[in-house]
Amino acid sequence: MTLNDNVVLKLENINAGYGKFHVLFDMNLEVPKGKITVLVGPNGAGKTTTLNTIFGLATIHSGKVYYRNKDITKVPAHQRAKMGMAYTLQLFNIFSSLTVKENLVLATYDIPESEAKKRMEEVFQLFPRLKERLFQKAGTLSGGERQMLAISISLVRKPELMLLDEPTAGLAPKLAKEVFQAIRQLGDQGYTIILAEQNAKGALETGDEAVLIASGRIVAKGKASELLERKDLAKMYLGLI
Amino acid sequence: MGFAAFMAPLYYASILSLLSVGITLSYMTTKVFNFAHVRYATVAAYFAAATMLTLIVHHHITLNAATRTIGGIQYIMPLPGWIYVVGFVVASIVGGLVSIFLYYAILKPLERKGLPPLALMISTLGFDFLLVAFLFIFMSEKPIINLAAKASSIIGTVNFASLGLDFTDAYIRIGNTMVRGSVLGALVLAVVTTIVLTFLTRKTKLGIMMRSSIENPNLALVLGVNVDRVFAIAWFLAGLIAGMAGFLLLFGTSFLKFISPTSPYNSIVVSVFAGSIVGGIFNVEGSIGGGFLIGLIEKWFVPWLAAVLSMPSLIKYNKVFSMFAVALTLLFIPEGLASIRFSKFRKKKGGGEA
Amino acid sequence: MTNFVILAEQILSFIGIYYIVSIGLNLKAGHMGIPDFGHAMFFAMGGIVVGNIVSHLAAAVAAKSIPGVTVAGVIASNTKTLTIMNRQFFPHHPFLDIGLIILALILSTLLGGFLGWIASLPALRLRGEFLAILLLTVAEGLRVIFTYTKSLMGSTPTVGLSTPALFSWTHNSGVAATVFTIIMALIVYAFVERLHNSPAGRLFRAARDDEDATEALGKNVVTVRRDAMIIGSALAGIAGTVYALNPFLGGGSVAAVSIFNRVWWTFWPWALIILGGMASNKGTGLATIIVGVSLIWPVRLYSFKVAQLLHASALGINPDQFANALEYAFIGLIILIVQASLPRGIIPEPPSRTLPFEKYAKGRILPPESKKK
Repeated sequence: MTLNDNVVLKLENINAGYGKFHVLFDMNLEVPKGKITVLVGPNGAGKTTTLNTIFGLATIHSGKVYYRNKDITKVPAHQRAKMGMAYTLQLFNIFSSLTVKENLVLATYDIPESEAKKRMEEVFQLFPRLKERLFQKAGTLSGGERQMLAISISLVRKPELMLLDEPTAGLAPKLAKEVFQAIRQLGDQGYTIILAEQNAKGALETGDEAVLIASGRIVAKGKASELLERKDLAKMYLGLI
Repeated sequence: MGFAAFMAPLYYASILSLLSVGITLSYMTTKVFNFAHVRYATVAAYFAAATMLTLIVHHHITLNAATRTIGGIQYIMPLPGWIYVVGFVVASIVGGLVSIFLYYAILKPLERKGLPPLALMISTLGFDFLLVAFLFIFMSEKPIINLAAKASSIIGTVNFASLGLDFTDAYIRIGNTMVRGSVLGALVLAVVTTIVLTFLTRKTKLGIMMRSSIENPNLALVLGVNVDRVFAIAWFLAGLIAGMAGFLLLFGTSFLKFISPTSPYNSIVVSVFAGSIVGGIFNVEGSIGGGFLIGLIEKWFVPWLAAVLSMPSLIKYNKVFSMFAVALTLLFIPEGLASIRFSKFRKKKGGGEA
Repeated sequence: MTNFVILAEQILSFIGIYYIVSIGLNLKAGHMGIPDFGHAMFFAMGGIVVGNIVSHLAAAVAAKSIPGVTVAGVIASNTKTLTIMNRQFFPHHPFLDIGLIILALILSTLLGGFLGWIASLPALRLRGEFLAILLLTVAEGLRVIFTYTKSLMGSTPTVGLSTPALFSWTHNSGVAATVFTIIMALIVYAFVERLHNSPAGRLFRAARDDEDATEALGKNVVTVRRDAMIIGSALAGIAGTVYALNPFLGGGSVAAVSIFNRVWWTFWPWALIILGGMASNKGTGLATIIVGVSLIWPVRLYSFKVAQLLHASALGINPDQFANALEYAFIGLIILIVQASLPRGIIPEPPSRTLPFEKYAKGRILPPESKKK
């Protein structure tokens, strides 16, 4: 099995869930390189489970996961991180009892120090606010800053594939916009990103490709801008109109 | 008071601190209080004794009670040095292996089945009973009984049902006292363990991985840390240190108790938990200090108090003081003495009285 | 034949006593979720009531008529005093004996419950494993106090106090004690089954499953936990009394090493309730029966023979130690195998029985709205 060079990740007939619980049904998905792929859908549709499946945190009942021409269906999660995947969890995605700096140091524990410093500077260019909070306990950050830190923790690892799970959950619209802008910026820099979002409008405006998931199945696929135009889907699944 | 009066308390306190730190290490990582932990020491002691006695029988080594001098320091070492080294290594490795077996063969599978921490704690109890059963059978095996008989004819009475190798303990002269090797060894080991663990958890990559896995296992996993293996290493270290304590137990039976499958476990297990909790169940250095503190309270402070109040019977009630120490700690400073921030004098708790 | 009777008496006594002590723990740990690792101390209270208080009371009465018996002698020359009373006093005063048995049961209930109430004070502040460790430590502290205080447990911790033979007035005191043990177990079973299906029992489990929700419904979780602790501990106290009066398990004496034994009276009951199924009264019963029969009959009785058999072979196992090892392996394996294969026990917790719907619908108890119609 070889993937097209432009495809970083491929899910093939995936049936997955947690233990005996079945969540995802016959899912097929290709993630193009250097693009932002958005997963949208109602609550409980299986967006987070899709990300967990990709990262090896869910139970795969059948089907295969390919990443960079390799079958990684059976590779444990911690090794996927070493293969260049990064995952920003929705909750508990920072070490809240440590400072911002310690968080970033922990994230780069397997990278040489000089290189880690350089990467941190790059991250601070994207999120200048984190630099001001460098020696503050991560638990005392505001909601927006937490998400920025969480994304930074993934970012300093220079991932080839970034999974973001609801980075704007619980944020004020203005902050959410900032986060989306930062993600767009990352997309423009050439990062491959899978973004799972509840906030369909913001996500579809940010992303390149879009996948609509409902009840564990893919309902629609296409360009993000096109999906945004589809009035029927928008009304039925996304509550946009 | 001379140093001699402090020997038993120091030995006891060091043993407790070596065992308490393992309880804390395993609790911090998996949130399970390990009831089998103190038994590792007994298992390790049995294996070390069997190995050392086999070597003694095989090489026909007799005890050398002569006082010798090296570099102006007088010492007595009844057995050749390498036998002690072999015993020590065997004890620590056995301790570590038993611990890692419990982690991988019992705790991990049960945890995957979704059992809560309390159920896992009970499973460590179950494993502990299996260890006792194993020891009862081990010590009554014919080869072991034959070994004891042969060793007895060479170095004096050896009996695996109530094991103690006090007569093979070394001595070294410090000042005017001949200090028991087991006392000095326990003390040095407690100090070295503190230093090594502090360095390991604060300065090394493994330490960083361990701290991140403890703080947020999911996030650590996502960052590429093999959380299971990091925890397994922590458990191995805990077992290793308990094994070292087990080696020292062999030579300190005149301070504590002879070794049998249920001894000294039954008399010290509660004190070990007490040390771990009083020092701080979330703090490695704290638990070492806590174990030391409980040891000194039981074997030094209470006898001293008994002498001052001229109530000799008070000495027997020393565990009651540990009970109060645990109760007060849990109710008022649940994270232990190590969690107290001394704003003016940043001083480690425990050991201060010594 | 007599061998068979003694075997049956041993097994039944084991089952009865372990059922009461385990069900007390089940009430705390299974129904209420309090991980009591100090259960032995409540059990010990029952033993002390018989060995100390009842003996003193009996001696106060006997001192008037029997030479050589004094109240002070109960502690000072315990074996001698109790031997005289067991021979010359108790067999001839059946009504006094029955009165003393009832008194012992009442006192042990009160004392166990009282200690449970004291232990519940920290139980209200602490949770989970920390509470378990605290109770374990407290039990150990109490054991030390009782072991070395002569006026409580006699002069030597291993010998302890002889117990009054309160069944010596019957034809066969062994049978009488066994029947008494079984009757007590049945009474306790009836009580906990009733409790299980009562509003109080449902409240226990509600508070165990979700404290906040229970609080939100206007129930005080603190009092619920306290009640469970008191009742469970009182049952342990009763078990201690039954044990002290039973010649097969108690062996005619109570000692600190036996009644405060955490393996026998804390860890064994834990193994039994895990085997039976947490919060399952029937499960605990079945587990006690299975373990009682298999432990006393094959394990204890034949382990010695098996060991001798093996001893003849090359293995060379000391029979005593082999028997000891088998018992430890037995309990260890029960815990691990049950946890690995049936984590909910052999009879999982039953749903609580509420009023049948038909009765409800027939209007015997109608909700307020339907009454208005």
